[in-house]
This record gives sequence, C-alpha cells and structure tokens, in this order.
Amino acid sequence: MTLSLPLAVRRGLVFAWLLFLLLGALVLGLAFGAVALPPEAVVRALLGLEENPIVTELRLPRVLGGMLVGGALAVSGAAFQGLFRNPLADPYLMGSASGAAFAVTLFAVLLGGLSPAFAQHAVFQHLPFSATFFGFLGALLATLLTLVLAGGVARTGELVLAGVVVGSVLTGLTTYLMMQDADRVRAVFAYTLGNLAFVGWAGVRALALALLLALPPLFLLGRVLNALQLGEETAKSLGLPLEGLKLLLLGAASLLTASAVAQAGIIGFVGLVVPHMLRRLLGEDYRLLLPASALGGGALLALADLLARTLARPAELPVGVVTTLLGGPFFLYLMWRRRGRA
Amino acid sequence: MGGLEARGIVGPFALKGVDLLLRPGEWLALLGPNGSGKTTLLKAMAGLLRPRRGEVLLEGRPLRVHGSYGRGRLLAYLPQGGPYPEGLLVEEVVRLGRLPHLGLWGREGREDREAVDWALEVTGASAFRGRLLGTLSGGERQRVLLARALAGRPRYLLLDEPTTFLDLEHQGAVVGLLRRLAGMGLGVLSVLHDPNQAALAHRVAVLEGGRVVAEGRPEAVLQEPLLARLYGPGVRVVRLGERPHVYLDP
Repeated sequence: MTLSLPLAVRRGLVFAWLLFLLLGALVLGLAFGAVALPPEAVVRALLGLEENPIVTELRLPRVLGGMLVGGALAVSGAAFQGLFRNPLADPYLMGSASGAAFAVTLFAVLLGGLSPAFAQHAVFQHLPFSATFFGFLGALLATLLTLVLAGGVARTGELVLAGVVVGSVLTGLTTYLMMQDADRVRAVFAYTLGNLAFVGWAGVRALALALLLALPPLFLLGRVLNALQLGEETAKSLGLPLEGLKLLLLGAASLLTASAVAQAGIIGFVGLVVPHMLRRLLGEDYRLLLPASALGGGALLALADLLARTLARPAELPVGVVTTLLGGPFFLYLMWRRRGRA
Repeated sequence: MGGLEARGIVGPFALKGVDLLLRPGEWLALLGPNGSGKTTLLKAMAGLLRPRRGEVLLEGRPLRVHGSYGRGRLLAYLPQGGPYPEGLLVEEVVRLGRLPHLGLWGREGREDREAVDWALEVTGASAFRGRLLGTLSGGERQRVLLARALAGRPRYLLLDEPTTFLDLEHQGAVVGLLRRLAGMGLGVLSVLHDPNQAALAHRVAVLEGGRVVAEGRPEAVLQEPLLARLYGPGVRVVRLGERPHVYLDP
C-alpha cells in the first residue's frame, strides 16, 4: 500500500491531505448547521457583500474556535506523549482539565450564590466571557500544583502520578460543589462535557494568542523531543539542558491545554487519537508530527462539531460527547487492528 | 593531559573510592559481578551522575568545566537497552548524535552530514539508513545506536554492555568495531558481562564491591583465583595461545 511510495512523497501527501481536510471542514462548517446555507450565501457573507450574522457572528468564530481548540489539544497531546515517551499520555495528564472544571464550577457557584441575577440561565449566558478566564487560571494552577508536588520535572514517573492525584482530588471537589447547587451548575456541566457553543470572537482571539505563544517553541524543539525518545540519559549525554527544556515544553503544552479547556471544556480523545493516527502515517519524527497534529486536530474537531450541531437538529450535542463516542470505538479499532497484525 | 580519569570517586550508590584512567587509543573493558557498580561508574564518568566525593577529569579538566555541549562533543555514552525510537528513520536517529555540535538552533552543514555518513559507514549501518528503527533486528539496531554515538565524532566512547542480547555474529561485529575504533585513536570504555569479550580488550579493570580490585592486561587480570572469587568456584581459565579463555565447570 502507501508503504511503497518514497517517504518524502508520502509525507508530502499526508500534509496536503490534512490541509484539504481543514479547508473542507471550514466550508462544511460554515454551510451546515441548524439551517443549511447555499454556498454562494456563505461566500457573499465572508466577502462582506451581504450581511449574514449566522455566518460571520455564529458559525465562523465557532468553526475557527473548533479548529484552534482541536489543534491545541492534538499538539499538546503529541508533545506530552513525546515528553513522557508514552503514546497514551493525553493533554489532560497534568491535571489541567480537572483544574479548569473546578475553577469554572467554583465561579458559577460563588457568583450564583452572591447574586440572584445569576440564575441558571444567566450563568450559561455569562460563560464565554469570564468563566473561561477562571478555567484558564484553574488549568494553569492545577498544572503548577502537579509540578510542585512532583518536585520539578526531573522524575517523569512522579509527574504522572502527581497529575493523577491532582486530577482526582479536583474532580472530587468539583462533584461536591455541583451537588451543593445542582440547578445552577447545569450549564457548567454542559461546559465540562466539552462544548464549542461558548466560543465567540473573544474566544478565538484568546486561543489564537495562546497558539501564537506556544506553537513556535514546540515546533522548534521537535528535535529535542526526538532526542528524548532515546531516553533522558542519552539526551542529557548529548549536552541538552534537559531540565530547562522539559519545563519549556511542559509549559507550552500546558498553555495549549489550558486555553483549550478554558474555551471549550473537556473534549476527550482528540489529543490521543490525532497524534496516534499521524504517527502511523509519518513515523515519530516530532518535527513533522507536531505541525501535522495541529492541522489534523483542527480538522477533526471542526468536523466533529459539525456532527454535534447537525445530528440532533435543532438541538445540539456537546462536541465532547461526539468525540468520546466516536473516538473511543475508533481507538479500540486501531488497537485491535494492530493486535491482528502482530 | 589526554584521557578520561576518575579520581577517588565515592558514591553515588555502590562506588567506594574508584580511580580509573581511560587513555585515548585504548579499549578498556570493565568487568565485575552484578551490583559491583560498573554502570554507576560509567554514568559518573559520562557526567550523568555526580559523585559524592572525588572528581572526573576530561583531558585534564573537571567535567563541568567543559560545559554540557563541550562534554557531549568529547564523549559519547550508549546506555544498555532502550528506549528505542522505533518510529524514527535510522538516519534521523544517527543525526541526533550531532546535537552537541549543533545545539538547539544550529543548522546542519557539510561537516555534520559527513560525520553521519562516516558513522553509518564505520558501523556497517549505511544499508538501512532509510528504514524505520523499529523494522530492524536487534543486531542491526545496535549498529545504528553505535552510529548515533559515533556521529558526534567523540574522543571517548562509553558503552554499557553493548553486546547484551546480540547473537554471536553481532557480538563479534561489535567487539571488532570497538577494537577498530580504539585503533583510530578513540578511548573506548565498555562495561561487559562476558570475560571472554573482555579478554579481547587492551586492558581490563575489575570492579568488586565498589572498588577496582584488579587492572591491567587481560592475560594478567583474568586469572582463576580472582574470577573464582567473583563468580564462584566453578570458573576455569585456560589459555588459547596468549589469550585467556574463561568457562564454567559446575
């Protein structure tokens, strides 16, 4: 099959295909939704020839937001997998997701408690503006707490364990908070399930800024991630200042996760499945894998959100439910196919 | 002064005061029972573990004075076993050996490409440079990892049991390569399990309980009383020509 093609050609084809997929996701995402729009209406709205808030205020930021969130999660997943030399590491490994969920829940309960104006619906409406900021803080603080508990980045095993502990404790606290005030927290629940409905232009700007900050160091350090695949001692023997580099890689990947969780809640499987599929096509060269994950994650999440918006029309599913329901079985399929070949 | 020298190294772990000098152009084999501190000593000499007391001198200056990249250019370290980057191309793996020269942002030039070609050539790994590491046999993979260590054109090569898990043919290839590399002027220090492979080195040092208890030419060191003490009373040593040959007679 594809293995017979020269490697450079195959890699080029993979990138071309990913770009095509991303473009396709953009076009489909703008045209379809609760109502379908003819292509010329979409184009006219994009060119500003015709005012169409469905395209410019609702769908465009949502599709772009989905792409940015998906790209951030996939790159972050790939980076964590490289850092921990474990293909099952996911972007939420450092406890960031639980941190974000906890902070947003706390925000809703506190503000809801302080002011009766923040009724259930109001909290829901309010989410995109301030809750995301709390979510971002929560994700970053949880990641920092994980780092502190693990005593730095030197011992990889302890980092993973500390991440698990922080994640579990925060999830427990979140559930407790939710039980205190179930009604008010329903909107928060929709958010923690993974939802792109809250992403507006402000969210797109915040995500773009995070990617602008985090992607360049990650892409430039692809060779360091490659060297880490030889083991930390070998990487160190090559002269790499490993502690600092690991901190930088962790920081950049955590920034991506935190921004994604803050805008869209906890979206499962994108950070796991996308790098996994691309690794099969491209090999494990992180200089290719990271940019490819950005494109692939963006396309995949935008397409999954299209399903979330259209499957149960006029109602919407949380996109996190779609990715989990599709991603879980798909991951199993990959595993079985691999076992079949082995 | 040339050489890589351990001076009075105490700790970490098993080491209880080790002096050892590796000279350029020689292959020095490190023997000793499990737990005697061979791997720890190798890591300390590679600058990967800091001794509690004593110091390691690289060409007459303490290791840390060289800086991490400087140290990486002068000495290469190959650990025992994995992890192996199975999804990387062989050529990519070997090119990682140029990192001490390139640093984080350096671009590869002609010198780097020539060093990679040379390393693949000298290890006999050129034929699979375009394959993924995960598709190679254990013996082929070890050649590639050796090429990675050599690609930085180090003056000293530190190897932890480079022949473990290899069949006889590949063990022979690795041992032959180590002799050739020493012939080219490299200082080669290898931890070995098999005294018969150590017998092919220029010098042998024996570690026991965290100390060097014997050091010298193989025929002087590999004597029955010492080996019986280290490995049990069933060890026998005979001579095959000049060379000592060790076997078990349980």
